[in-house]
Amino acid sequence: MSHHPDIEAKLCRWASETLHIDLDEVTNQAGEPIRDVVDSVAMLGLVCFIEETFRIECRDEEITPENFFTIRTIADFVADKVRQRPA
Amino acid sequence: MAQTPESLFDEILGRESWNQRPAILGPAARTYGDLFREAGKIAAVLTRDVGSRRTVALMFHPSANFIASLIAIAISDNIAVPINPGASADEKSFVLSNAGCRLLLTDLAVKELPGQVLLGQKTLDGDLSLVEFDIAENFTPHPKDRMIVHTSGSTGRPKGVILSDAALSNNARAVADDVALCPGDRTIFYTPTAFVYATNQVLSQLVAGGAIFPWSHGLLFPGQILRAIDEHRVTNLNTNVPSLRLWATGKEAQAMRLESVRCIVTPGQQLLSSVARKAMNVFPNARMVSAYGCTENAPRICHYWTPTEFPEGDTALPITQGPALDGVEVRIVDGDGNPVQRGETGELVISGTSLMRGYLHLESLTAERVRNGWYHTGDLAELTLAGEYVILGRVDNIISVGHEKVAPEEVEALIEKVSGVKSVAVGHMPDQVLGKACCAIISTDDSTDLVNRVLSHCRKNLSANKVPKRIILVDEVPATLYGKIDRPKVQACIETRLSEQ
Repeated sequence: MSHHPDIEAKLCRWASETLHIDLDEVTNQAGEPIRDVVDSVAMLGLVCFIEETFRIECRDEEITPENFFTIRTIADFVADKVRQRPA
Repeated sequence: MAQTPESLFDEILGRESWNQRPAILGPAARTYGDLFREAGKIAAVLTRDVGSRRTVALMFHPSANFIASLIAIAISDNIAVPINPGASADEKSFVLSNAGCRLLLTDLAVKELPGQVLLGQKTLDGDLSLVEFDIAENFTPHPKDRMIVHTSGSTGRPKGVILSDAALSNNARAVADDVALCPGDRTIFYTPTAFVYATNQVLSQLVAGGAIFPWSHGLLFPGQILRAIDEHRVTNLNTNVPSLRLWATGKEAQAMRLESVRCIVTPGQQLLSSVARKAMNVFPNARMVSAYGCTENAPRICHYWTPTEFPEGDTALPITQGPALDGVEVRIVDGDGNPVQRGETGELVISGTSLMRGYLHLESLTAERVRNGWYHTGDLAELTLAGEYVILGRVDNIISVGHEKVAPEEVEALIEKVSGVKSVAVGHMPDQVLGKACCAIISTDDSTDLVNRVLSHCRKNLSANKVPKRIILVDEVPATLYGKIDRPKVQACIETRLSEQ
């Protein structure tokens, strides 16, 4: 279940538009591992999208399989970073 | 002196003195003894529930579970059919049916597959499960068959390549000898398990007594892989050119010097001297080996040890040149099958102890490709004046995307089904990571949202590397006088259109 539906919805929209996957399908699979559909180029795009959209910076050591395992874990990671962002 | 068993599996399982040595590194660390015990438990279930000489599909990311399952298949005397977890449901379903696999061993979730009825699922130790499908068994194995690997087919469907235990064993031993692998060696393993390169990497490391760090996330986290190489003092890398480029040019790599790496093997792709020079900054003690091979030879044919100094600029290094690996024979022949003279070009053909038994259910194709014991690779090569051979390209239309071979006909057949597509042809375009990616040109009588519809259809039905990176709409797809796709003109059209953008 999503803890951060707004963030998750934005990530799903990115995935749908970038990877040309039906939005409903992405949304339904937000808890599935992304490694089978996201390649390394798309991953670079995803990090840029997150940094721009949520105005956070992803450090190299934060781009890990744990944080970027599923759309849902990415949403959790983004929410944490947003919370830590200076006002 | 005891004779070495023909099967590499028998050889490694017979080395009890190695039981305390590390076999797997990382979070799933275990010794050879632990790994073999785990394999033995899986084999016991397979023997009891499956029997022997049956095809069993293995669906894994690179992991200790995959390695244990591979060994278990040999212990229980079954035949492994690796399946790519990232393949589309349709492709998975085809591979299962083609190889007559009623059973699938995996540690991943198994979803519905089109046209297949799931009969049951049994949980094994750990997080493994054995899944049974209602699939007719259609394969009568030869006594020494050990694996069926599916590779891209030019007819729009993958072909099953039947490999014997001896073929896998001989090739892995030849690789271990050529790279002088030893018990102190450590490798990082992230090659997709559906490729026979993955099996070869695992077996060559195990026969040498080395250790393996499985990495199941592919190239998504290059920084993490580099840190793992550093942490586990990895000595040997089997990596494709795109990942080497990613590592050598990434911002993390710039600050790293990974001195433990002594050998980097890159399979069958053109390496630019600029990338090799940058890689040497990150891996200063490494020698680079360009490996040339094909699934039909389980897989490696020869290793080209590149020079230690690389030319300035962006010179393309040869894909390979030089002697074949032990047990592999190479010739370059003309259209009539006669060996060419030095200085001439022809098709590279191979023979030897690693060669496939044939293509599954494709006897006429096997007879066409293997003539008088020589397999015709479809690769064009030059026999130089010095007597070495240099690969020049493909005789057929196959596009190498990363280390996956993509038949354009397969992608075209799929795109043709999208409404509004009048005609389609697939060529290739440069890709920063994969080296090459597919690019489709389409003529249409209804362009409404066509690009998105085509890409969405491809995403659903093809594995990621086969999905065109770009769709270009044209008035007419170039064709020959006889109505066939004019491949050279298609490629020229793609290059012209890309240069205009």
